[in-house]
Amino acid sequence: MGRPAPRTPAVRVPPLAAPWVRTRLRAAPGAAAALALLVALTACLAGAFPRAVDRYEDAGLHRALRQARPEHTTVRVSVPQPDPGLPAGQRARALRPEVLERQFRKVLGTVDSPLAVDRAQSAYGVAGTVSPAVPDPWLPRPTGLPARVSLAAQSGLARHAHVRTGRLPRAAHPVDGTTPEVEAAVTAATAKGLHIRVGSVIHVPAPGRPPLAVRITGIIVPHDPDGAYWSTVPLLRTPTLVTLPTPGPDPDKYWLGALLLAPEAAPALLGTGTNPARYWHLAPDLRALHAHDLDLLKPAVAALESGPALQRARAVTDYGADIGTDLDDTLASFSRLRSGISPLVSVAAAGAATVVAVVLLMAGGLAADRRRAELALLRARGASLSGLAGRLLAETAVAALPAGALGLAVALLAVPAGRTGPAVAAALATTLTACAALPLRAALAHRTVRLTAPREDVTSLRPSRRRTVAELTLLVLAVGAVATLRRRGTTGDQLVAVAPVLVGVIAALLLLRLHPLLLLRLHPLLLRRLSGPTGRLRGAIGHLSLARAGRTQASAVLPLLALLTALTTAAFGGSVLAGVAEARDRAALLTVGADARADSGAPLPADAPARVRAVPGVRAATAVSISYQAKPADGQDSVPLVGVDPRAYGELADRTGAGTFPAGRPTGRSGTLAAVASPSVASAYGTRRPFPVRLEDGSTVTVRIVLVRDRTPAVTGPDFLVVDRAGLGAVAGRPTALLVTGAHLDAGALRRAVGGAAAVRTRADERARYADSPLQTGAEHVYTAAVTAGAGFAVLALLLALLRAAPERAALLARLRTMGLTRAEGRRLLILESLPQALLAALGGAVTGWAAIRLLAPGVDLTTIALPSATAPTVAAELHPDTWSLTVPALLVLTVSTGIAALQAWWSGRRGSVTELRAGDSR
Amino acid sequence: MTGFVFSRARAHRLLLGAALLTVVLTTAVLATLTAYSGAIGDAALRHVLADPRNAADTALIVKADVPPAERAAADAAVRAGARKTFGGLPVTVRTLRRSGPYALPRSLQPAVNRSGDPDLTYFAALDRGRLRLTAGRFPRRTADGIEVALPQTAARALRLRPGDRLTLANRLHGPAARVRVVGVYRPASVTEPYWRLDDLLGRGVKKSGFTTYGPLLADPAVLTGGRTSAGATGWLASADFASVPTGRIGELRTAAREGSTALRKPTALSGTTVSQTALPDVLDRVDRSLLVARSTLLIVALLLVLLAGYALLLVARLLSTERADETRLLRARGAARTRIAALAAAEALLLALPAAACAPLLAGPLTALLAGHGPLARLGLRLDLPAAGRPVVWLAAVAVALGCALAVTVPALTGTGPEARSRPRRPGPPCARSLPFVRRGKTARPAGSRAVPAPLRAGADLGLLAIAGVAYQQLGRQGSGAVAADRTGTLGIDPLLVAAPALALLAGTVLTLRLLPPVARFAERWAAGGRGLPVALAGWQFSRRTARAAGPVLLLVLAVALGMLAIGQAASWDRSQDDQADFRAGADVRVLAAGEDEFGRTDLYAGLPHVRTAAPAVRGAQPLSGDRTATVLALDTAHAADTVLMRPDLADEPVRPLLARLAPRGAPAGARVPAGTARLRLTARLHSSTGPGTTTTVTVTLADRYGVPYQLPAGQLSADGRPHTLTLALGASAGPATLTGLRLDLTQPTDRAEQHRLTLKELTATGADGTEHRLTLPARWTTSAEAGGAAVPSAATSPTRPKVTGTRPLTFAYSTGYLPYAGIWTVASVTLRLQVTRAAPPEVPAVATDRYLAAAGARPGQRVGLTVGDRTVQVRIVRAVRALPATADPAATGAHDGGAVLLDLHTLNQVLQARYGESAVPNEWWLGTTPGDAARVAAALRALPDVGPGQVVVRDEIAAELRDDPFGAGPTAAFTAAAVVAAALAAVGFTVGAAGAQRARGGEFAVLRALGVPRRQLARTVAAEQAVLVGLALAVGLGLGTVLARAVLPLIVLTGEATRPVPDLLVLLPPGRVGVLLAAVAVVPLAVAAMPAVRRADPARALRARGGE
Repeated sequence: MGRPAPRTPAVRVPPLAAPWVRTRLRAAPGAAAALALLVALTACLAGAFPRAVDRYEDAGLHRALRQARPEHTTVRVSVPQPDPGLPAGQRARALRPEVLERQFRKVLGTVDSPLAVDRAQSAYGVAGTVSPAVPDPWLPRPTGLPARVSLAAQSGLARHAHVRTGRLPRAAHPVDGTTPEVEAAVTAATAKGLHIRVGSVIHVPAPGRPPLAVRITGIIVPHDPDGAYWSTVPLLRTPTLVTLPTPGPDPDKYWLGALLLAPEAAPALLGTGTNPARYWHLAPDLRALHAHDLDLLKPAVAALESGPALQRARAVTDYGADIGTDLDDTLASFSRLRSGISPLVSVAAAGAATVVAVVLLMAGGLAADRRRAELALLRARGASLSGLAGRLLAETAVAALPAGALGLAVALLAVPAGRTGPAVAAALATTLTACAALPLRAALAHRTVRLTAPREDVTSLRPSRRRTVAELTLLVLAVGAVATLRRRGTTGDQLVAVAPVLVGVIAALLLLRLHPLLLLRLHPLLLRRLSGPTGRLRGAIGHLSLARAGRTQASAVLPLLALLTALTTAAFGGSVLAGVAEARDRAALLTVGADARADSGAPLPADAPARVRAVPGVRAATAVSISYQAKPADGQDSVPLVGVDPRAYGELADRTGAGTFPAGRPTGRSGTLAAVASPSVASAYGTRRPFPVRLEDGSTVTVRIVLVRDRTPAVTGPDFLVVDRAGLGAVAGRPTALLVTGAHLDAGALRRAVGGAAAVRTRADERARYADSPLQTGAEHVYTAAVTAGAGFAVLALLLALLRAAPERAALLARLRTMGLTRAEGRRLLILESLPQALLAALGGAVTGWAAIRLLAPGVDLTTIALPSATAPTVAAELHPDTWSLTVPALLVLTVSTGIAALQAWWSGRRGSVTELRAGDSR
Repeated sequence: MTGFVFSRARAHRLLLGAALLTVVLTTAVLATLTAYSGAIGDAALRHVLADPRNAADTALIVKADVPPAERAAADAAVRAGARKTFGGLPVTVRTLRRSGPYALPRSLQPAVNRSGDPDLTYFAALDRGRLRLTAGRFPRRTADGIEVALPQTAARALRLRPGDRLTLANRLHGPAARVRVVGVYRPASVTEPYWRLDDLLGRGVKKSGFTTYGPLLADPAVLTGGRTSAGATGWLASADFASVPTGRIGELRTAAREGSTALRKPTALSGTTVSQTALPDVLDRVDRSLLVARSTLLIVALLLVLLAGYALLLVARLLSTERADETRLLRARGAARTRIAALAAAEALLLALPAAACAPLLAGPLTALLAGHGPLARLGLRLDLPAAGRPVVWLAAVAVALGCALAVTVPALTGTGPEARSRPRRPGPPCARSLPFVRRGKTARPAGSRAVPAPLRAGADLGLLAIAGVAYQQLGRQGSGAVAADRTGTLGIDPLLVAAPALALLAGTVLTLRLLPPVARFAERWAAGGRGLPVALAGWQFSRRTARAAGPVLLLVLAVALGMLAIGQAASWDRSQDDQADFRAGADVRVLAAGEDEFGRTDLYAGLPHVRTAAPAVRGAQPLSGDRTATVLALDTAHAADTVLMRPDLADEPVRPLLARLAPRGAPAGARVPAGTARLRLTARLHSSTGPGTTTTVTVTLADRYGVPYQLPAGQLSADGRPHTLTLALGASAGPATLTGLRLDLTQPTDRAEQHRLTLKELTATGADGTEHRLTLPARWTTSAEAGGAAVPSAATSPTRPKVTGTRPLTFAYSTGYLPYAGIWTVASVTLRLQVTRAAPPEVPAVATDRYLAAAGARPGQRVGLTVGDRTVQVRIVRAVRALPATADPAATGAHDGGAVLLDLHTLNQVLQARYGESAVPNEWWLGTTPGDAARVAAALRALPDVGPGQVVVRDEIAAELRDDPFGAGPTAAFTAAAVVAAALAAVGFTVGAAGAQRARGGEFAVLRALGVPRRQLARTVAAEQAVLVGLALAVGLGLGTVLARAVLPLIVLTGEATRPVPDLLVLLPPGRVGVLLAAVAVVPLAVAAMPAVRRADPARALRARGGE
């Protein structure tokens, strides 16, 4: 170490005359435009992703709430009638509409955000909690019991219904507990059920006074019968025929209907024995509820149900107020479904995000690579590192920021729902990454000023220690992630979400590490092996292309990383989608048992099979008799007994793959029927001895279990016995179900063919039913989009990589052309040259994808996303490698890379080679 | 080759000796841990299964109604079934055969109760080995009459003694039984599972609506001979678990599950009512505890492996440095790399062989030593330690020894690596010659002159930190430490999570290396400013030899940090057991109510000897949104302020002021009833507008000394207009009370309302001695009326509120309302409440847990409604606390846990009284005892006839149970052992490092000596340098250990149920123990530093030996 050189006094450098950004943009408008395009695309995708997720989650939440019906989702505040000890006037006043209206407004104020109330569908009023029996003889009495009526005075009747006959009820005078007569309306359904006409008078008994006469003045039709106004208490619009739980064959029944009083007439209820209660129904405003607010929504509901909001509601209404709703259960079940689905989506998102990040970094890296000479010169002339980076940042920012903003704007317009914040953040992150990639890369590359430029076409066998350490860290993390995923499943952990991506990255890094080794060690071998065939070939193409392929580009790291990550994600995602589809197919098939089935409680008409077979598209119709009440061994437990035609049914079982058995096995001999049984039945009744089975019609057959199968097409449950139908006798053996196979079956035509005697289910309908929640379909769409975007970006990475090498290849081609290379040979050279890299990537990607799926499959459960939560999972939806998902992306990569090479050869063949050969060029 | 290996080994005796010591230590310790884990698991399993507290759970209980003809078959079937249930273990079967119920003569009942249910008893043939005779003799078979022996408690209560004769009425169809009492017995031990077969659980007396005494011990022939009515037979089968290893847990569990259900199958046992054993549950618990213990031991073992590995690498590197010249020579003369590797491997095996041979033999005694100290010694576990060691111990020892050999071999291989490729460089410029590491260690450590080792420069520490961070985050996400449930819910040890503490320790230690260069620079600058050679030389050396010094420093840091973890684990675990016991019990002793409760119970408990305070409490459940349940605890906070055991960090303020926020104001208003009142007489007259016919039930509300109102029935008052005297009998031990109100219950008349006038004439209190006091009734009353049942709530039909129409005598007038359309089945009731007026607090202040606030969507300061009984009370949350003791609801855990709310019982009752005229009756009592007397209080409580043993919760018992959990205590001992071994390893490593440095610097010192520096100054230089290193290591280790202990321990210290303890672990690092640790770790290195460091080597020879090749 010598002494430091004497430092020259600092000279103030005058600022550059030429404005950097403008000069650069003018010099290379194409590059800037390309960058802008890339940034706009990524920002658009990044911005759209969170909003798309928000949109489908919101849709799922709304669907869940709508499915739960207003009966469960409406928040019902109710207050018992005023203390009977109070003066009558005070009691009547508490029930008057203006008081209730004032309280309604105050109750609305107790609801915490983000729970919003739909004021149009909310209602308040007074209703009797006891429905007294009314003695009027003209009301229908199906079993002799008098009808009962519920009295309700709900607000806003005029707004929610139109009058079909008569007029809406009014209260001419102030009403109190002694009023002898009030007016009421009924809905058309109530009027029909209880035979009520305009002008009818119903006498509601009242203790200690003459009955309250309720005169019907109008019959109304609800505008929106499914809205919360009418559906929170469905009795208001639809009467019910209540069946009493009396034993005996003919239970007692009575009609129960609601009479809708004018709100002003509510105090009249005080005179009756209906124990009137005041209520305020707060219907949640579905449009204002968002899935991302779920964590705030739950406390808001909790506060209403059992927390401070309930107390506030009591303060503004009455101390005895109570609030009831099942909104919390609905939200909880939605939350469970979402937490089952979102980890899978985050896997796709993580994969796509990695690919996008790699492509952005790569774009920056390639730009830095291209301008290496220029930047080296600048550094040599004395440009500071920070100055250089700053200028480059300004240059990229000028192009990228407006493009990012544009992309974001497009995303916001394209996906109008959802939060804006995360979208902006995601777009900003991608834009900033794109901006920073070039300056950082350049700063890194030109940290030190070198005397000579390093050679670009040699590879070093020993990567830096830093890289080794980073790779080892990633490897350990990947192993940890995979182990965690396999052990604990996809239970909402970031580590688990990145597991497939990490596998892809590790594979890419491993491949890159092996690559030089392969080239150095295998290349000579390969050459030796190939020297025979290539030697026989004419020309130098073989040698040339092999030699060129042997030289690696220093910038091969990122494209390969992007490609492998994308291929892994695509394979994983494709397999997930394929697995979901397969699980649904299988579940539908197992539920239906064939392509379609017609079930009937009673024997089917004799000509039904023939008519069904005549329906277009039907290949075969197998008639079976299913006796659900067969009791084996004189026990109390019933087991479904299926009588089949062994040959036809065997074919059917073969086709569906459920419980295949050799043809002719369950044929009977010598009075004992051979049977196929489920494992539970076989273990319960034994396979050695025959046992009797009592059928529904009283006859008994003797059965011996000869085969045990897990499933059978005709029955879905875990218990069954399958026997030959011929052995069951004429009565018990009559077919009750038809299992239909065929393609493109029309459910309507089948229904017509069986003549309405049986319920028809087709596999296609059943399958369509499984993808019911928008949460599931939305997640699938986002998944598909993420996988596609990842694949697209991977192809982009490939393009960028080839683009980088394009000038050099064009020059090479031009030089070789001057030496006599034909166009066809040039084309072949380029294709052959690009082939090893592309093959490596494609093969590596396919193998990595396969390995990733095999590694992660034990931890991934697709049942939540594949099948509705309500149905018991009859099939376990497992992840396994899907051939198409593995091969198609790999082939795509291969095709694209060779295609680009061919294109380039064609293009440079068209252009004159003069420019490439200009003297003085550094190349 | 062998000869060369040995001779080479002799040349480096010291280093190889150190390596051998390290290898033996490591192997022995890990083998011991393996043996310990196995032995402690088996011993703990047996301890748990043999524990008398679990005896009832592990036994098989069968109860069946067996017809006389099938008794023998049933007995045989039970015995066969029991053998099957316990998987072939030796089984003892005991039986209890009992008769149907008999009624005791009325004459034995107290006079007041004679109108109610008769007292019952039954005969039983008991296992006489379970009894002790206290008087008389055992009954014999007699021709006429039945000889019986009574339980002591029953005999005392019924005042029967041997010789008495009774006639018992048969409660079923059959003849009465004439019996003669011949003896009195008591159970040998009531807690014995045998008494589970008895309906009275061996307590002799049971009160539940009616009172049952018994069983009457009779000769077996009496029960089988048809002289008594037939009853059930009970069998108790208990197994001897003394030889069950942990490997058989699964098999035993399956056998127990299948066996107990299969017992219902035999036809002889078709009348089986009970066939159960909780053995599978006990085994499940054991399984979980075993997993927790193993995971903790694994964590300890990994930490030790880390430390030992590092120590070995250090020694091995020194060795390879020492041999660099030798190896270079060998290489230069043509030795193949494989040859050198083989030499190194042979040498390493030389080290490993003795270790692998000794370790398993040492493991036995070491395990015994480990189990013989600390918490395990108290339990007296019998360890099953074969002298030759178990196969798994041998396996572990061999594996560890081979691992050690590998660790020793690897530096020797990599040490020769660079040299093989690069040509030996020329020695450096002359000025650097005096620095030995340039001369000697250059090839072995090409990066030796740099401040930071090469992997570190490449960011290995950051990578490690990232991995450790991820592992730590995963550990933190898990509620159950390193024991994680997989997708199917089965618990298992997660490798990533087990490694997390070791990774964190390693990452933290390695990061400190980044600290060294700045410290070294600072030291150099500081030393340069000083005067005198030693300081300057030491500073200069230190800053230039940072990387070389880093090795031993790192080892010391690791050892100190590991020691801190061990200290923290032991102290925190101990503390946590106490905390958990405090939290579960809530008070020294807590008594739960069995059923309905009478007036004066609080006084009864408060009057027990050694009870300092007694605070009544009401516990209830509050359903919340989202299927959660909160616990509502209303406690008499005025009396419980000193009793509640609440850890201070659970609330932002101490317990006393916290409870004072809830405390009530004002005393109950009403007629004061003096203490010692036996009887309360109320003369009243009820006049009805429709004449006589209606009868009213009168209930008096009496608030006891603690302000808890009780509703006490005072009898019937018929509405005939004449004065009646209603008498209320109070318990003997009643303290002063207050009459706060009356309640009238009557059936609502049909079709016509009645106008009633109630006149209260006088109220007298009669003392136990017969003295009478006239009590004055207050004049101001608050009244309410309520109709229930089928009552029609309307103005016309509802009862009216009673009005005070006269005060002398006090007269109330009210209308009953009526039931309009009464059928046969419809009955309506009217309740009229008369309360002495007093100001009620506007709201009830409450303290809520954070969990409750989250579940109810509330914040402190807000009001919420709570349901007590079936009434709603508005409370205001004044404070949020993290948790409340004794509020965990076993039925509502996890997602169903809705937290807890604490309020004052007194205030609650005031509000309930004022608003509804009702009160909440205590269902548990929090007792504070005089220090150390909790066990006596518990025994006294359990001796009460209507308090079951399970109804008394004793804090000390819970603490003892937790502390005596062998699964929990095992890892603590292992942690302590690990700390000791860590200190030893660090001492060895540091000494070797210091010696190596010493030797390496021989030449340099020779030069200095030749230049005239006194030896003393050189020694001081070395001492100063080493002291700085040791000090630095201790300081860093202390800091790192503190951080690690605070971060990691709360995550890995688990309860036996594989959950984090509640309340969460408070990490304790007692300064005393930390000081001892630091001293223990530092003593050897400091001694080495202080030793006359510079050998009396001949400087001339040292200077001459330059360039020896």
